[in-house]
Amino acid sequence: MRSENARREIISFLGALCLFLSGVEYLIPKPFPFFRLGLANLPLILGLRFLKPADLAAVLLLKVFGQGLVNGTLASYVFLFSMAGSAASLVFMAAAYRFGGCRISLIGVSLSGAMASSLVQLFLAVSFVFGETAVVIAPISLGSGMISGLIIGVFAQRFTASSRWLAALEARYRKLVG
Amino acid sequence: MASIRIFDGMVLMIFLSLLVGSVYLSALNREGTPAVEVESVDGRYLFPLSRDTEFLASGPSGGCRIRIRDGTVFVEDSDCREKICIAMGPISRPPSWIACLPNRVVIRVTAQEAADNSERVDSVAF
Repeated sequence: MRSENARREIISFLGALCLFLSGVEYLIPKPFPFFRLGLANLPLILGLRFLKPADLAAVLLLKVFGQGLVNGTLASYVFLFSMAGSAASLVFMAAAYRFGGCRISLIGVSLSGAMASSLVQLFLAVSFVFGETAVVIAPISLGSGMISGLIIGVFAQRFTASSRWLAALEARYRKLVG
Repeated sequence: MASIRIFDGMVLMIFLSLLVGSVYLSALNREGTPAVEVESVDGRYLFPLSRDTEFLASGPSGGCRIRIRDGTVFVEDSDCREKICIAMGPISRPPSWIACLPNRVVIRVTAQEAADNSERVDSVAF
């Protein structure tokens, strides 16, 4: 029971980190309005290496709801975009990480997540909100997704390689899960 | 820089090709005279870019006031929260666009073909 609580603590900590990072993201000036760095995806990418799928999904839900609160989009259709994009990106990242094995680094993982998220959101925009006109935003959506995916990926890769905090967190989680 | 591996490159290549493809697709119709297309919840409107005018597009957040002036189109005022549509500034060259998501308004500068040649030929031929 105690280990169960300790595990929840780690999950909620990572979820809180997502919430915090989506706040931090507001500090970063945007080169153009639709560019989002996606800092809040960091805890997910970092957790990808050791969290169990169910726990990862829990962090994802915390992230999406947290972002909805911070951005004020919780009650609008933008929230559905966010949810769908995040879920698709997590599935793709998990698949890339799993099947890529040692031939992929977190850079490729992050890129595939960004790609999935951009594509899904584009698909939703085309099929539900704007119709075919939304295709004109495809280059910007994909382009900004690629840049931010790259930045987040490089950061995650370097951070994972050198962070003792993350290593300790990972060790603690592995011990709890057994 | 730490280890870039083979699949990283592959993912990047796939991403890049999608990007290039989408740029190519959206750049397909550059020919013709530029016109302004406004899509809102009310429907779709077409304006010539060469004539100065003002248009109110209504939307769920209240609406946008769109102005066409000196061959450019821009959102002059909008009842939305973030005013991204206003910040996007004037556009003039096809294919470019301004969107106000809260109002569900999309403004596009598109190239209109001179007289819909392709369709005309077919309808005459059959």
